Order: sequence, then structure tokens, then C-alpha cells
Amino acid sequence: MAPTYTFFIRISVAYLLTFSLVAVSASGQDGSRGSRNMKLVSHIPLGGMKAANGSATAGFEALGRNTGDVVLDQGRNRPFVFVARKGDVPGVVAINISDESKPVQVGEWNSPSEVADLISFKSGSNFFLIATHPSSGATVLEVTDPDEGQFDIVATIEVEGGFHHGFAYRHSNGRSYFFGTGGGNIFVYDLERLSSGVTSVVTSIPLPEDVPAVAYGFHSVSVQYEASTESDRLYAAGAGGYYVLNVTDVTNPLSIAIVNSAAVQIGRSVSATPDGTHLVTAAGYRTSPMRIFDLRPALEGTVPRIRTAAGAWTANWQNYSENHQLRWPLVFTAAMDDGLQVFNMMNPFEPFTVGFYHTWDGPAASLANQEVNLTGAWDVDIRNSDGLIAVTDVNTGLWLFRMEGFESWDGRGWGFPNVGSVQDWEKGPTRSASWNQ
Amino acid sequence: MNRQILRTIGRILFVFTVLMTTSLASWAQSGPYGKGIEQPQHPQKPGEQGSANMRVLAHIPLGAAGSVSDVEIEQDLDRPYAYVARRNTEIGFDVIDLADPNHAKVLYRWRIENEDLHVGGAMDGRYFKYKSRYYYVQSVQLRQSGPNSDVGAIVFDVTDLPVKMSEVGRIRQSESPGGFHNIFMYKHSSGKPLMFATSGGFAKVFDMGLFIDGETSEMDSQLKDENRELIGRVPVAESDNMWSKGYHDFYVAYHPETGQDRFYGGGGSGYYVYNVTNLEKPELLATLLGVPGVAWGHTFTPTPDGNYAIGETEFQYQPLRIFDLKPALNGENPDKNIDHAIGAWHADWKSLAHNHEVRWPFVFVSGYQTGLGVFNMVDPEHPFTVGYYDTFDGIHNDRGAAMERLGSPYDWNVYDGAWGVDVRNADGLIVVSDMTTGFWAFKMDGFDGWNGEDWGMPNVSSVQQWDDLPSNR
Repeated sequence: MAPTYTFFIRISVAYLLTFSLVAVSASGQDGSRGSRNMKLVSHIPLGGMKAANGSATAGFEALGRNTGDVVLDQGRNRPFVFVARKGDVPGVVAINISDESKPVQVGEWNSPSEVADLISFKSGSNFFLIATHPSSGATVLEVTDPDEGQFDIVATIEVEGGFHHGFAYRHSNGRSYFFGTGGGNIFVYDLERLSSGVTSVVTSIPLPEDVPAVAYGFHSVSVQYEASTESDRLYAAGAGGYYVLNVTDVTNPLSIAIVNSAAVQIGRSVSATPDGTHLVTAAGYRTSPMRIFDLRPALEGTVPRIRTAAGAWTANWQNYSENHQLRWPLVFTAAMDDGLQVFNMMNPFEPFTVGFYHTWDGPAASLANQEVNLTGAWDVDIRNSDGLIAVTDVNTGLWLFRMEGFESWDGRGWGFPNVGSVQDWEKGPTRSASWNQ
Repeated sequence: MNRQILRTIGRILFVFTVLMTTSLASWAQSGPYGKGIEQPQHPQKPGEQGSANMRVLAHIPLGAAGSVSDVEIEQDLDRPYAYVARRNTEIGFDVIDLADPNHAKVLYRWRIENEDLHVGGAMDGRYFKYKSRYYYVQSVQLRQSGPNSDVGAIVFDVTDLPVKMSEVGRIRQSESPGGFHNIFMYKHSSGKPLMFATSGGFAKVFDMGLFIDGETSEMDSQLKDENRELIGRVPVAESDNMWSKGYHDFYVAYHPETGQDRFYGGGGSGYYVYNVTNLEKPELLATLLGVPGVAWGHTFTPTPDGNYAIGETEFQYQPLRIFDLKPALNGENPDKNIDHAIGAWHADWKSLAHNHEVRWPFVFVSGYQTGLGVFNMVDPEHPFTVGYYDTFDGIHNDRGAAMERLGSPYDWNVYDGAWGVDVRNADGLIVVSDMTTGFWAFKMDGFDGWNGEDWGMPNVSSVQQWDDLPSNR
């Protein structure tokens, strides 16, 4: 019997339905934005993408990029996140995450100028936050009691050229220091003195050498105790690449390794593995991967400087990563358009992705359009005690995650000293190498 | 309405639905210009070295690993010759007979005299035609620890191939020893056959007609002036704290819209465009400085209309970048500088490209560890791969092994694999020289030749029309 016209119509409808399902699935529209091991805990838009002209629907280019850096308080009894706010009303917001699935904004501080980086530290029994200002320097705020909205200004640092980034470090000499960078020298301040309103500079650290073709100094810095040599080492990104300095005597820094990688005119960010043998770096421009450098040939004196990366990682070679947190063997990256990305660097030659979540799922930025270059995940922080992950996305606000199998981090659990971006403000770093110390 | 008509309507509806959904699915995946294909990473599955549209015509291993450098193919179909430069263990060049591309063979192996005494090798090779005779110019870089370090190029008369060829002479620059890393042959709007050569902080310009014509006065033999044919120097525009003072590579093309001869150089701290119509006074038209990731330029080739250009940096992890030159050339950027790319392409982000040939909208790339790659840049912001063949089947990204085998002076060591690529416009034949695996010839489906006018572009590429002025194209 010949097929009827209703048969063809039924077949057409069935085909359309099937096609729709297949097409939706194939184009990734099934709602999944992360890897199966990445659990979204909560998300606060924090003002969302309201544009400078007041419109929240102004188009991709004009979208507000209103969220900046993030700091997770490390104490279990201090369930707070601080987020830098950009846009028309720059400042800092404090968020209580006692119930991390329902974060609550508990306070805010309106800054007179743009806030770039946030750095937390403890002095005595009080807690402080340093908000850096690219235009002027930094503001030191006491935030011991965020639930009461406390943002008490205790010091104002004024530096020509301002600060983009900073790092707070508990030194092996028992003192604690703030290292600030703004495209020139690194300026060092005593944190205890800062907390009492004294802003005198302890020292300033210039580039170890002149760098051809780049009129710039340091962009960012981290400092870490190196247990095997019992020294304090400064890792800086800036003109020419990356630098390692011995700052055991903080007023007499000594250059001990230089990394000049071709195609990195200005290093953007850098951190060292807990044993100080490898650097994880970002160059901060679109198409640049994160490079991993083996420092040992330079530290051992085999070569005068390191030029070649041992390995590299990228979520998507057309994009780039901005900030990252190293918790060996994992590196948590704020990978802009690619959101939160986590890679494993146990084999530094072949790092590989182990988890991700796309905090931004809007239009793709591109090389051609400079207006949308800053799109997506900007900063990331990790709470070592329980593995909570906080990500700030310049467009979409604050995100909290948990990654399956990552329930805390202590370097000693991996055979390393327990050092990194998190400081032990009471004990310092000198006993970080062993469980027994 | 009778049932037959209804049945026909139903059938039409069904066919229409299938066609529409298929087209939509295809468009959704590829976008208006196509998303292209992805080259698999090495080691590929057996038989998957190349894309389905790329056919190997010939492969000739030529010698020890690391002994092969650039490749040049003659453009006339009745002169089926390619030239492959050789370095390190064998210094000279090989002539490949492509009379039957499926059975290509080495026709001639020229080696420098006293080969063991020389240190370095032959690098870039270009041919030209002058007064009905054909010449091949082989650039060389010979170090001062051996003889002939002042020689930059050796010129051969190859008119009588396949029967014979002979050396015509050597171009020397004793004021800047070390030879010529790259050369480019160009039929200038003045009618002169010119050779641009990297030498001593300039692109030096030699009138090859003068060189071939030889001595024109009784004094020439007495003066032995090695600069007799040197008729111009294109500088590298000064900028602060330059990465290098010279050029690595360049390309020269006629710009029909302005009637200018334009020079596109990579080196210094980026890329540079000069008007070289008047060779005595090169005029800087544009710079590409301060581009993130570009501290130095390697290869720089414009589209036939001169509006866009592809830039290479020769650093690992660096993509080929596509630049829009218009804002610098049309006055939109008062400083005449371009500081960012608008598009980028990679065969494999862990590796890097080396040389390339533009046949708009296609760009043929010799990628070190990725072999031949072809991408389409019809949308310069979103270039996409359309074909590939991994000619390099050796050590991928293994620094220690590569260093041991190649003894490279660099500590980079991803610099192994496809060095050069060239395209014969008459029939679309593609040739590749691979540092380790030798000479390759390919055909890509649907690419049976190239003439810019077929694509709505000036017929401008690296290929010169030696019997005509560029303005008459």
C-alpha cells in the first residue's frame, strides 16, 4: 500500500523533534556548564553587568564588568569572603558564608578610587584587609567583625603610580610584610606598623636588570618560605618575565634566578611550587598559555637564566588565564572566558585539566574587539581548611564551588612544606616542612 | 484534493524538512564561513597523518635529520623544478625533478666546495628570470670559523636544466659577515629584478640585472666592488630598546591601489611596512610594535590587497597572528602603529608555525612539528583549518631527545619538522621541506591553481611575473 500524505507529515514531525533534541545536545545546551566533579555551591551576581550608562541590557561591549578580586578568609571561625567591586561605585563587599549555599552580603566599603587587589592579614588578634588602588596606593582596613559591617580605615598608603597587586607574607624573621606592586619597584611595608597607621616604607626592590623594549617594572609578586635552604624567596612577575629573589634579609634582596621567556614582554602573575623548584606563570594576553618553568638549572647555576618552559597549559589557546592559586599538584585558575579551570601539574611537562566551570556563558570575546577583552573569571581563592573554592567573574559576580576529592590542602599531605599563598600568622613558615614540627 | 496530490505535498514537505534541518545543522556547526577541521595531535591514529582532502604526491627523504632548510618551486609548468636548501651536514641544495609529480626524483645535488671546511649552511632559495634565462639564488650563512663567511648568496644559471646548471657568481658582504638568512626576489615597478637580503641591520637590495650583466667597464675588474649591485638599504625603524637591529624575513609586493612597491619586514621589535618604490628613500608606512606576545617579528606576509597581514614570531606557543593594517595605513592611527592582532591561528597550540605562503583566502603553513597546515582567512577574525599533513613524524615536543639528535644551538627544541612551503600557482602543487623527513609534494582537493583575480583580489603573491611589470598585471 502506498504511503499516505499523513504518513509523510508524521515522519516530518518526528524527524523535526529528533533533530531538535540532537541539535540541543550537540550544541551544549543541556545546562551543563561544568565538569562532573565540580559542584556549584552558590552564586551572587553582585550588581551583575549593569553598564556605566545604567542599562543592564546594553550589549556585550557595554556590559558592566563590575567584579574584581576575591579573598576567602582562611579561618574556620571566620566564614567571610571579600570581593572588590569595580564600576561606578568602587569598593569592597563583605559576604558571610556561614551557610555557603546561601551567602549573605553583610557589609560594604565605598572606596574613593578604583580597587584592584585585596590582601588579607592578621596582626595580633585583629584582621585586616588591604585594598590596592592603581591611582594612588592602598587603603588598610580593619575587618575584624565583618558581620557588623566593620571597614575601619587604619592607614592610607600613597605611592606615585599606585598599586595594582600586593602580597602579605609572614617572614621567617618573625615580622610580617606587605609587598606592593604597581608597574615600578616593589614597595615593602611592615604589616604590624601598617595596622597601627604607620605607612613608612621598609624597602623598595627594583628590577634586577634593565629590560630592553619595556618601560615597566613589576606587575605582581608572591613570597614563600623555601624550607630546604631556610630562606624567604620572592617571586615576581614584570618586565622581561619572572624573577626569584632571596629576601631573607628583606632590606638586601638578592637575585637568584631570572626567567626570560620569549613572547613574554611583561609577566602577569607567578607562583612557586611549595618546594620552590618550579614556577607557574601567566602572561596575561590572549593566546598565551600558562607556562611552567623548572627553576633548578638556574638555582643550581647550570644556566644563567631560564628561557624555556618545561610545559604549558591552556583551557583554550585563543583565551588566557588571569589569576591563579597553586595547591600542588593542582592549579586553580581564573581563566577569563573559560571560567574556573583546574589543572594538574604533577608532571610539569604535561599538565592536564581536571575540572572546570564556565562562570561566563555569554558571547565569546576575541582578539579583534579590545572592548570585550576582560570577560569572564578574573580571580580565584581557595580555603585550605576545607577546599572551598571562590571565583570572581568580572561579569557575573561571585561563585563558590567544591571539587570532588579536593576537601582540603596541606602541603605536607603531598610531601611538601605547607607553604603557599596562605600564611600562618601565628607560627610563621619555618616549621612548615614536617608534621612533627 | 485527491489523495495523489496530498501524497505529493507530503513527500515534498518531508524532503524540504530534511534538507532544511540538515542545512541548519551544518550552519550551526560551522557558522557563515565554516568552522574548519582540527588537526589531531601526534601520534595520530594509523593513516590519519593528513586530512582527507590532502593527497601526498611524493616524498623524498634527503639526508640526515636537521640537514634540510627552505624550499622553492619554479612557477612555469614547463620548468618542473623545485630547489631544497641543505645545511649542517651537507651544505648546498638539491634540485627536485617534478616532471611527474607522482614520481619526483632528485635531479642534482650541488654542494659547496671543500664542504668539510665550511660551517653553517644554505638557507633560503629563490629563482628569477632575466633576459630569457633562469637563475636560482641560494642564500647561505657560513660562520667565520670556516671559509666564505662573507658570502651571502650564490647564483646559478639553471636555464638548461635538466641537462646542466652552472654557478654564475657569489654575492659577498664582507662588511657584515655571516651571510643572508633570508632573501626575496621581486620584480620592481621600475622593471628591475631585485633581491632583498637580510644583512647587517638592513634589508639590502641588490639589482640582479647588474649582477648578471657583469662588468660594464674596464674598471670593474680592478675595483672588485662587492657593493656594485647594492642599490638600496631598507632600515628597521628605530624604537626604544629594540629586541634586534635587523630583519629576519620579508616580503615585497606591488600595491595596485597606490601604485607603490611595498616592503613587509619582520624583525626588530615587530613588523614594518615600507614604501620602496624609490629605493633610495624607503618611506615608513606602518609599524606593528607593542603587540602582546610579539617581541620580535619573523615572517610577515600581506594579503594581495595589502589590507591584512599574517605575522609569525617563531616562539613556542605563539600562533600565527592576523593584523588589520588599514588603521595604520589610512591615517586612522596617527602614530601609524598597530598594537594588536584581530585573529590568530594554530595547528597545535603546543607547537608553532614557521614559514607560510598566502594565496588568499588560503594560507599554506609549514609548521615545525605539525607539518603542512592550510587555513582559510576569508574572515580574518576567525581563521579556520581546511587541510593538513603532518610531515614530521619524529620527536614531538621532547626537548631532551631533540637536543641530543639535532644538537641545536637553541635551547628551544621544538624547532624540528616542516621548515618551508611553496605553492605553484599554475596548478596548485604544494611543496614542503621538512628538516628531518625531506621533500614532500601535495595536492589539496579543490585547489587547482591560484590567480588573485579569481578571488576578487589583485593577482599578487610571492610569485613574480618576470616578463611583465607588476603594474601591468
